[in-house]
Amino acid sequence: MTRPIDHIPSPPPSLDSAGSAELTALTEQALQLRRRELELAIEKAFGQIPRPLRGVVHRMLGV
Amino acid sequence: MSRKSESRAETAKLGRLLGLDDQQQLAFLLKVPAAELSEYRLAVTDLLYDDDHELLERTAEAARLLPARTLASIGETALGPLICARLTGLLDPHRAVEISAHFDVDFLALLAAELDPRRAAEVVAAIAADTVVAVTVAMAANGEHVAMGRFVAYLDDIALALCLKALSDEDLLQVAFVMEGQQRLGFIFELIGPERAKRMLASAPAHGLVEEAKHVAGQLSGLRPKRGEGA
Repeated sequence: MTRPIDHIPSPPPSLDSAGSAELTALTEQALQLRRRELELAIEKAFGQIPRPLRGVVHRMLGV
Repeated sequence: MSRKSESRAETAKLGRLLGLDDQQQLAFLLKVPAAELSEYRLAVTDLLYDDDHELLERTAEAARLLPARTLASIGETALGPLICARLTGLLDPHRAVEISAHFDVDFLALLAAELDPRRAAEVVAAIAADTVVAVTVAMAANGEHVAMGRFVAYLDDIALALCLKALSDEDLLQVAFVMEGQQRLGFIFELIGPERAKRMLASAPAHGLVEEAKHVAGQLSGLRPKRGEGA
């Protein structure tokens, strides 16, 4: 599920409203992309952690 | 140095940060003053690097359980350069350097391109100079001039001098165009000497880098002491 973003920085003040909306959309897109990449990477990484340590790492990460 | 070229340099940095392949997507920003773009870029950097901070901190904590070689293998094959870059600033610097020694140069170049050196200054400073040079050359080959420009302020003088030697004039000009910290620009030109500087700026039209050359030359002339301002 996509988590909401409520803290995108305010666009540069001299940018018009269309430009501001475009920049905000591109920034949101970059943030969502990074979030997806992090989720996938951690999921993939678990497969490579030596089996005896997986449970401990799972608990530490809380995922 | 024109306002337009300053804004173009800032737009290129923002485009890299947002992961945009086509800089034309941000063409509407070229009319915005560079200072405003810089402020926005720094705020977005914090947003992107601080998001999921708690999970990344727990990941860095969990990394203490595993040997450096295993972590490097997980980093290269599963986590990837972006996550490794974000973790770098959260690990103990000595541990981060130890892990980095197991990465190959191509992966280090991808990782460095995603790293915010402000958050990993100790790690950057502790990497061996020959590794820094190899990574620099690989980053230049990947066209990562914007990312390279972020590192200039964090390299020691020896590593910086070796990197300058290893880079082509064309690559160096592209890095100088977007690099952070004008004072370091003056030092770079001291290191490369007047002959290479002249050659680099003169060859700019052949590489389609006229605006970059004008911008850099303008910054340099701004750094020179004016008459009556001392030696």
